[in-house]
Amino acid sequence: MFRVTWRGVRQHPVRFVLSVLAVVLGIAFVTGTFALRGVMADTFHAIVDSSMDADVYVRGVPTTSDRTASSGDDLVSTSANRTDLPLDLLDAAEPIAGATGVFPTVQGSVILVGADGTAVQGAGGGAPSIGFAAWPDDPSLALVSGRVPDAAGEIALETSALERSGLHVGDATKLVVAGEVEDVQVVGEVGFPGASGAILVAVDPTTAVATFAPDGTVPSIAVYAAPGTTPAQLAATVTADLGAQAGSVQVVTGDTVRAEAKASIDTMLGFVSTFLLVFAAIALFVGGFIIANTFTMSVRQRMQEIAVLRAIGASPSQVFASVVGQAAIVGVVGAAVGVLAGGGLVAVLREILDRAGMTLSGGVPIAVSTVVVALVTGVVVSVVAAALPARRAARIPPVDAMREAVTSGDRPLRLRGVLGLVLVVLGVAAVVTATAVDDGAGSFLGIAAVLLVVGMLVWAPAIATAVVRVLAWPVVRLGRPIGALARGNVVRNPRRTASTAGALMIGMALVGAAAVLATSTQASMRSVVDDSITADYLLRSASQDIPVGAADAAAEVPGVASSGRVWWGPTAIDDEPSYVLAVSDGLFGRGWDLDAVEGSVASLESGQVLVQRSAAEANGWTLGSTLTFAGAAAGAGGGTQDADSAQDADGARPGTAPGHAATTTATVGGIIESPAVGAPVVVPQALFEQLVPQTRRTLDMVLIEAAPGADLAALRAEIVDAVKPYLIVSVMDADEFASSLAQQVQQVLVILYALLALSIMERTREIGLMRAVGLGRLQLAAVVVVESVLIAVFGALAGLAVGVGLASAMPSAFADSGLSDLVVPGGSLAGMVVLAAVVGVVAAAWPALRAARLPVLESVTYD
Amino acid sequence: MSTAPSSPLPSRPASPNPASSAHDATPIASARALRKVYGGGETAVVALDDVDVDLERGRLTAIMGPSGSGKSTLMHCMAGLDRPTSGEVVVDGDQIGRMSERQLTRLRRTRLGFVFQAFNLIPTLTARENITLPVDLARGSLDKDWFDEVIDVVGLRDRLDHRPSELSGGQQQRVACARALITRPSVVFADEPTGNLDSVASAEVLGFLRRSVDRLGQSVVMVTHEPSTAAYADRALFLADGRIVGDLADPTPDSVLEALRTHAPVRAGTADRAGGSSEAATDQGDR
Repeated sequence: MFRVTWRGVRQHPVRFVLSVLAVVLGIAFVTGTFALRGVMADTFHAIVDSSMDADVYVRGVPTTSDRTASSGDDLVSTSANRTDLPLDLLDAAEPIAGATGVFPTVQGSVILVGADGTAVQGAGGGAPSIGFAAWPDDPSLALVSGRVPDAAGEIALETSALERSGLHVGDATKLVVAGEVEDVQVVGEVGFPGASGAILVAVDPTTAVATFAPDGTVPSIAVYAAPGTTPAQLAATVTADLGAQAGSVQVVTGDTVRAEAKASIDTMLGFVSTFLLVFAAIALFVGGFIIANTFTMSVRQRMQEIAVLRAIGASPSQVFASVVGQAAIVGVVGAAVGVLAGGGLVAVLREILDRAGMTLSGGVPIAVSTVVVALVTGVVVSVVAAALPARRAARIPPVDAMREAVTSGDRPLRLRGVLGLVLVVLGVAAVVTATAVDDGAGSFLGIAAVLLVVGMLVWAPAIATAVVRVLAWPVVRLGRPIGALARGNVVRNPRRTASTAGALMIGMALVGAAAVLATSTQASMRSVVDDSITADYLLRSASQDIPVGAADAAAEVPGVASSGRVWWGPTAIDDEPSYVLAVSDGLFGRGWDLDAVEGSVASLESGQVLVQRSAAEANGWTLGSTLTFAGAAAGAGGGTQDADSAQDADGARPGTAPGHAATTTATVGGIIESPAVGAPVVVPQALFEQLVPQTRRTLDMVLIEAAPGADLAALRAEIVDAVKPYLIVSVMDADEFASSLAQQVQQVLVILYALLALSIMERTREIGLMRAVGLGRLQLAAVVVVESVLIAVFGALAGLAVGVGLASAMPSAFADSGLSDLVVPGGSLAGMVVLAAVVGVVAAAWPALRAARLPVLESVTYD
Repeated sequence: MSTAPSSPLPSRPASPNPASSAHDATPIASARALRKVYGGGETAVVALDDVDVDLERGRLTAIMGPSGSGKSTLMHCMAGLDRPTSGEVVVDGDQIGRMSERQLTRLRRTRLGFVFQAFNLIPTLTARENITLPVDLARGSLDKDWFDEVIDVVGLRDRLDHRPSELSGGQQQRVACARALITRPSVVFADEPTGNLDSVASAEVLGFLRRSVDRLGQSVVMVTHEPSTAAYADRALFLADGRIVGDLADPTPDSVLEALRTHAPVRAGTADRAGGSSEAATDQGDR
């Protein structure tokens, strides 16, 4: 029996090519995701190992007692929500027994100007540029050539940064550091294993401390052990030396820090993989549909053969196993090719990243477990997809072997129609519920999505006849007799029509939902921006953080009436890690119209804070509530802009151990509801400066208003000019700022488009082959094409109905999250339907040609 | 056209066939009050109307009748391929009317063999693989001696590794016959086995079926509408309008033609037409 199974596949490879391809696409995605994750993890772990190579680290204590927020872009320290330490914490003590070096982590972001006068971009445009203190004896710093910088205005570049910048040792260039442009000279080249695309700039320690640790605090201090001293011993020594201060800091071994860093990297990569795997799952789902269709067709063609097998003694389960076995072969082959394709995909990606300067470590790691997962997934998807056709095959009565023309007895569609309708109605009810309830709208929508998709699949054959009749009306009127014939063929077998249209339907539902969602999000963003931000121009930075110098330069451009800044930074509120936002005093009402739902925005000026309504509801805050902020160790006086005030950092509060989290309280003076404010709490500028150390502040946006009567175009040019030295700053007007979302979604959907095209091709082949004779060749071809188009358009419309319906509910369900406007992109949706029709034509081309060319007898006896 | 081989055939079923192992007088298959109605209501078609029949062991029985007479339906019901509307069928001592699908499968696998008009070989398997397929399906082990004997009887030794598409119609049908015999079934049912064959190939296949009865002691039931084919049989049953209307021992082409004329007067000329060409839609009228 296995022979029959195997030969069936081997003798008709073409029949299964598209099925295999469908598996390949899905599995390649899965394998690629895992492999990419492996490569990234290896690379980042290697970076951790080489960049965090000290034996013991002293670091602050968490500012919150429970969980810590993860911080992504901080390569060397994992201390996003920890208190800072005084820079000289360990210097004050006697030399530590068993330690060879003590190096505070002094670093911050910089922008390096390359030989061509533009900013040097990290690999892929996204890797950070980091400046750090070049301590003379730091063992992790290997001098390649030149010397280590030891005076202001001197820098050394890491090898790959040097290559990338086009600079040479001895060249003069500019460095944007702490928001100002400085003239510097490259005095050396240093090696730093695992830089991996980041631009690393070594700065002399004095300058580094002044710029990156202006308040005299650092996130951590690295201690290297002398030979013969274990990290654990060293940690014990350091703890003992710290004495009473040990309670307010943590002394941990390098292994612990590295393990934590790797764990947080893995968590991050986990999110990325999950996102990719969701798409892989969708691809496999659609692929499963294609497989189900292929096998339905194969079973129909093999009906007599199967009946013979039954007559000569095959049991239903043997027939079932035979069909499922073929599916398993398809799954194994598809998965095997998919694994290779996935590996290839990652190899290509690696090559691209390598060209871009981001060298990933190792080969493409396709783990045994990945191969196993891929094979199992491929086989399971194929087998599950083929289960229904296989069951149908198993039910073919043996007496059919004796019959000449075998017809599949179609049962009435009434039950299916009712069941489908019930599911669809339930789905619609779930959508309505989702828009009505306050909590759990997301899960209602999820249930609705499943109900609607499954319901439509079940219901489709029952409504196919009616819908296609309507769709076909113009064709029938215009193209006699072809239109009527084609309609007849489509309507006569609603099951075939529905299953052909099924994959397209699922895909279109996704595409439609994504399109509506993207357009609506965009429109919501736009309306937020249009409604609230009245400034003429915005400055934003690709690196998130706008150099202060750029903001200053822009503000000084003649014709700029005013400019305001928007910062955000991490803190903890009521012992929960959180973020706060602050704007230049007076910005609200000048370039940014923010209205309070309760209380007033103006309360900011009297030192009160504003909270988002969603945050207020979640935390039970009301007007007049008191919020407790855990600021970093900071002077009570507020503004710590200048480095001079750093000295009083750890002495500001008598009785408070250095690095211990200070707390500050503030009253809620207003409740706001604005998605444009990307933080739960808005604090006054002074409070922000007190809470968030300068090194952790991010200047997110600068809003610029033109003087009345200024020439906007000319002004823009001047602003662009002014910020040019800070190259990664961009100047946008409100419109540009508001658009940029739908792109990525579209790219991933390309895979789905490919699968959809495949599914239509697969099925129209059948249409062409099952055609009866008696028509002129051209007419016959035309009939096949029209059929294909009718089916494709039917699938597209049904899918769009589901997708658009689901997505339409989202604005009302997620209004709180900033999705306020519903926009159905009629034009592009219509475009998709047209596209589906075109796919239908293309898919029908070959079968039509074939059907037209086939000699009559051959077409009757075609296997 | 070859003539019916001589075979001492008394009309008594109990009569021992020299080569047959079947000494017992019980029929290999029998039907009682067999009724089969297709459809329902006003469109109901009675394909079999109260048929009682006993088919003997170790004999070659032909079921004859014009299109729509119910002969195919009779065979389907007696072979457990189709379920009768009412009545009882006993095959090799077992009631098949109440058998589950599983039991029917086992019955077909072990005790029945089938030969189809359209050969129905599996196109992807070689002749040898087609022949041994029923053994494979039953997960049994192949009896090599029996295989050799069957191959010799069908005379296919040099064609065993060919695919069906590389064989002539007669050869394909002989492969199908070998496939039907490979499990040593109690009875072989052949549905118009020569319907798609020319006269030479027909003679080959019929000669082979005859030999399988004479030399291997096989019981064979075949449906046909050709008098010359029926002449190979030990006994010919005549059906018309779902009833058995005649029973002829030791049929010859002439006696068969004569019987057809006698038993189906209202359908005069049918025999001529039926005898003329292979007729495709045998069961079309049945349904």
